[in-house]
Amino acid sequence: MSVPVSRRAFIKAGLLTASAAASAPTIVRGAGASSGSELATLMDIRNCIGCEACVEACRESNADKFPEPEGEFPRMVPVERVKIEDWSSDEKREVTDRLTPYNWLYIQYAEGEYGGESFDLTIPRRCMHCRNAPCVNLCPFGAAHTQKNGIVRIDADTCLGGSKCRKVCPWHIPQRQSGVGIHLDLLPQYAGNGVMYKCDRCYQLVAQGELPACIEACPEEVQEIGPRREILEKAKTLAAEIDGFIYGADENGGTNTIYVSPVPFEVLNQALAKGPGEPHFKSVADTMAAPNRLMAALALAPVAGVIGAATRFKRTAENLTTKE
Amino acid sequence: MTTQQPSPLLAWLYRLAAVLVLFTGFCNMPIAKRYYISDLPGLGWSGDFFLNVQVHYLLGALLLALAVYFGLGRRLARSNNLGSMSFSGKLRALFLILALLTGIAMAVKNLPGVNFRHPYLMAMNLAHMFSAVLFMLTSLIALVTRRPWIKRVSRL
Repeated sequence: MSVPVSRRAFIKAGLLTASAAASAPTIVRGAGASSGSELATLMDIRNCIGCEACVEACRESNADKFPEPEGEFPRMVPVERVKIEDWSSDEKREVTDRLTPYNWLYIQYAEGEYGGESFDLTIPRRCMHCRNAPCVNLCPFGAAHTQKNGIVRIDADTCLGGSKCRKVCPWHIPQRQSGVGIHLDLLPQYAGNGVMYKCDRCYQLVAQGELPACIEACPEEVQEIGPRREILEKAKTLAAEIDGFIYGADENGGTNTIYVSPVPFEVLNQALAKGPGEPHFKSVADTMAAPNRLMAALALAPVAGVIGAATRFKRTAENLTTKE
Repeated sequence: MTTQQPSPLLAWLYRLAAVLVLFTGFCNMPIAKRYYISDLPGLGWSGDFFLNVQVHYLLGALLLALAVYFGLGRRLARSNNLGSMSFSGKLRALFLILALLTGIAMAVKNLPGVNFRHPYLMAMNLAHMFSAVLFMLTSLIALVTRRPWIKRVSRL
């Protein structure tokens, strides 16, 4: 399982050139990609060689969605609390070793030991596309939304860049570009701070029955996409075959990105570099579970009101009868 | 003809819930930390979006119970000719009901397996926000100009 870094670099250089011609879709194209059924992706991280063909393909495919700030950025109020996040310089746009508004997919590296063997794994990381995404549920303006096919998107035209989605995301995936978006037309200094960006799983391609760019470009067939139930079954079968581990099936109540790894994810998580734009692999409980439990209170409230009003009315009517 | 004020306890409960539900509603936007609200003693929770939304749910449930209690009470009172609602009261009731209904829709949307189409989701968010703001403004105007909810009240 151990792969020297030098070999990886060699393969990467060769495959970057070859990948454009060697695209091999790993999903049956007619498997409901455009039908609106819930789609999930499966990542068999044993196959990833870290060539970054997916990263390049993602950047190319989504280049027209990237932010283009114009003019000076507003002076935010209060300036000590609201930091400008600007990734628009030529140098910063080229960053590929973390998530940024211009890099929605990157390769994580994990080296270590497990079961007496060393491992050296490369892992594509991007939005998990949660089934009940807190970024969607808690966005105060409805900019984040979930499509019928399970794709979680942030609408750049309506996002104010408050970054609440990043705070409530268990993996802190969305990344902000300041100085763009509708907030500039509202109260630029006092509300919002740009637009949040993240993987939208190439929704425009999926809508046409095509594969997301990262899947299409991968020379090693690391990823597959298909109906969630089938993908989940496949992940379980694969994990059983390799005595491996699954991540994403239950995390945060279930996501539409399922990883299968030969190394436990808690071990991988310890081996990863983590920080801003570098998501973890920790176990994640359902973040919406606690608010959703309070639905019971909302359901009981009208009943309590009816009982209270009826009781009170009965008493009042009895009082009136007595007085008369 | 009987004219009575609503129970003082319920009246204060309503005022408290209305103020706090508006506060937590505003804090659903990312402003509590930005504007140092969560730095104030006792308000640290307002900067925690998950905690804030739970408090918002609970207060919404309380307001919903009170709205049904008073609303049904009004219906029963009318049948006995015991009171009538002021114009100010009707306006506040309208915006409160709108805010509650859109709030319920959004709470349902947060359940697993429930997703609204994007235009509908945005419309719900904006309707909830604007109805809540209009409820706040009409309530403030009523408070300043001392407009009552109802002209004649039965103790219901």
